[in-house]
Amino acid sequence: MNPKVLIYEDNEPLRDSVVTMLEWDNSVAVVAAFTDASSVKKDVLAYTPDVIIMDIEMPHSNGVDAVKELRTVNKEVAVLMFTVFEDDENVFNAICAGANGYILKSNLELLQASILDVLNGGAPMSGTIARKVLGFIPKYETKKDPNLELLSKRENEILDFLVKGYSYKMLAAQLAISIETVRVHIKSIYRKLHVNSATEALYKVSQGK
Amino acid sequence: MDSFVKALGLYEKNGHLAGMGETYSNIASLYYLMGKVDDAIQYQKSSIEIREKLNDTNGLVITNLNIGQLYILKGVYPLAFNHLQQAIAYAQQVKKPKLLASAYAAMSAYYSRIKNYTEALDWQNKAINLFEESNDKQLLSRLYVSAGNLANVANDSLKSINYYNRALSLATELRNKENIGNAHEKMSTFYVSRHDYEKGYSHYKTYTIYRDSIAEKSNLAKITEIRTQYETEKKDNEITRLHTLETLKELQIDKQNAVIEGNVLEVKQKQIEIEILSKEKQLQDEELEKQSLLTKNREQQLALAEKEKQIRVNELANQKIVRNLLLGGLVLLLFSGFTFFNRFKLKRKIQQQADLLAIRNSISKNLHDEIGSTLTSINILSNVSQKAMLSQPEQAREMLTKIVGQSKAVQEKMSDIVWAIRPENEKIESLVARIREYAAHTLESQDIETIISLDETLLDNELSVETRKELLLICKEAISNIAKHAGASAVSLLFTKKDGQLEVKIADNGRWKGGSTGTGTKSMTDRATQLGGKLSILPGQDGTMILVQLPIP
Repeated sequence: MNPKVLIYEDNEPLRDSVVTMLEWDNSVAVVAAFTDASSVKKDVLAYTPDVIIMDIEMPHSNGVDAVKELRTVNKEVAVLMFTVFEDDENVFNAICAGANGYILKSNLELLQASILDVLNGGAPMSGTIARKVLGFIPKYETKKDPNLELLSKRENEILDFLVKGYSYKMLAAQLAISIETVRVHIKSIYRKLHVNSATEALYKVSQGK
Repeated sequence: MDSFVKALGLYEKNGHLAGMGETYSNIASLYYLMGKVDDAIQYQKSSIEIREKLNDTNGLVITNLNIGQLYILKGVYPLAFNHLQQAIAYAQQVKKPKLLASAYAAMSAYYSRIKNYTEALDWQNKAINLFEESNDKQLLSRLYVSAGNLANVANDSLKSINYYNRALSLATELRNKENIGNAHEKMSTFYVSRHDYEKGYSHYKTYTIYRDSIAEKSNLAKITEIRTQYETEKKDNEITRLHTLETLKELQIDKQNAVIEGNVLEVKQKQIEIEILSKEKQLQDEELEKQSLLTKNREQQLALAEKEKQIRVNELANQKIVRNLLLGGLVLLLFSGFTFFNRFKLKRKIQQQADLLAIRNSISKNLHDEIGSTLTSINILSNVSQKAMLSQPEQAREMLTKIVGQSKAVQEKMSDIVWAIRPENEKIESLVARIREYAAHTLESQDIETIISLDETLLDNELSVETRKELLLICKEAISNIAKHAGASAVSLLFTKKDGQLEVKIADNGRWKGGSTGTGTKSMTDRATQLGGKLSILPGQDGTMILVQLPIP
């Protein structure tokens, strides 16, 4: 059974091309393609997809908000953000909101691989995202909230190298660990991101911000 | 004795010779009574001396008699006889029967002493006769006693007893203890010599009784003496007091004299004071003069001060003017500074805007050149492949492949341009990071070992938008070439600083396949030149190195 894919993209040609590509590929099944994510919750409940491809910038809805919303009804579905620039602030926010990764519009030949990867629990991390993560997760426990998770030493190292532009292979070579270990660390980083962003949101709510 | 001595003293003090004479005699008598015959004689002699001076015949009689008796006692009979005879002479001179009688008695005593009892008795009788005439009973009793003695010696016991009894009766009549005692004593002796011891003893007993009472009497006399002494003392004190009063009066006189003198001194003092006052007045006059001078001085000073004040006011006015000028100058300066600053800011702003404009121009140029043209190409290829699809599917496929490649390239270029524009990618570190990502992406799939290093000194260096874009593209080109043609297994990119220039060494251990005129090479060299730098390709046996040298700010 092929994984079910739900696509949200407002640019019509692009959307069509993506759908064509995926259908031609036959590794995944596109269940629906929408131009805006206003009714994302309903859609998710209706279609129960395995993977969602979410555009960041859409006219009537914001990709990041959409992720937040759909996470309230579905925590398992893998979400890939569709973006032109990987150093988009929104990508980071989307990841914090619960997205599992991102895919560059300029690298769509990797789409299938990315989908499969994310279905397998993988999580891509680029240098820019890594830099943002480092800025987001505090190094020490702050008075803000003792529940905030801190990065481990190894995770910090990995992020540092990622910021410098190292690939997973390079990382593995540098740190003398396997690529798989690298991926595991990055998954952990993602989790902490999610936790901290959730905690932060709650904290902000509780503080009345 | 003491009183006599004191009396003597007083008499001596006052030069009362008669008293002295008498006192001497009295003292002599005392000495005689005490038994000190020699002393008695001495004093009697002194008495005689004085009395001879005074021509006190009476006294002389007595004294001579006394001395005579004393000498008899001593045994110096000639002297005694002399004195006695003198006494008789004096007595006959003064024609005093008493004295004469005494003298006779004394003579009798003398004769009895020299054991001429008959003469003695004779003289005694004479004395008795005289005394019986004068009725001097006191002496009579004694005379009777001595007569009795004499009679006894003359062995006329009857006469002696007779005399003794007459003595005793007289003495008893007179109550003269001494004489009574004496009489009894003599009688006792007489009886003893007659070997009538009983009578002798009884008379002796009676004698002792009287003797003791006499002693008592002499004590009484002593008491009287003391009393006299006290009264004399009192009189002495009176005299002393009167003397003191006299002295007091003298002192008062002295004091008054002193007071007068004191007054004199006061007067002198007052004179001095007057002098002082006059001198003070002089001083005050001088002071006044001085003060008037001072006042003049002060007036002058005031005048000076006024002038000074004037000057100062002028100075202040000047200063004010100067200060105002300075302030004005400062304000002007500030103003001009401000203006300059603003101009500077404005300039900067203009510059910035110019820069922005330049960037926009550059972007649009890039987009136009690189992307626009490629898109055009894609468009053409798509068209042709459409047409050739049925008739020449092989060619169509070729063209489609090209389209894939070109569109991909355009995508990348777009990404690069956007990356270069982003301000957070100013630092050289970002460039290196992006190159690394590309290298990994391109070379890793071929298992080419990649080493990329950035010199620490370059870490903070900032590159302009132009520089980073061009350099990025150069590196990408080089890497791409290596991946496609070199057949290398290891690649290294080293970013260093040398002679103030940025040096990038891209080395591989493959073979150089292009010439220096290849499109890729040309574009790389052009880019370097555009940045004001140099690109050199150094092919070698072990590999190839591309050296890029760029100036950096």
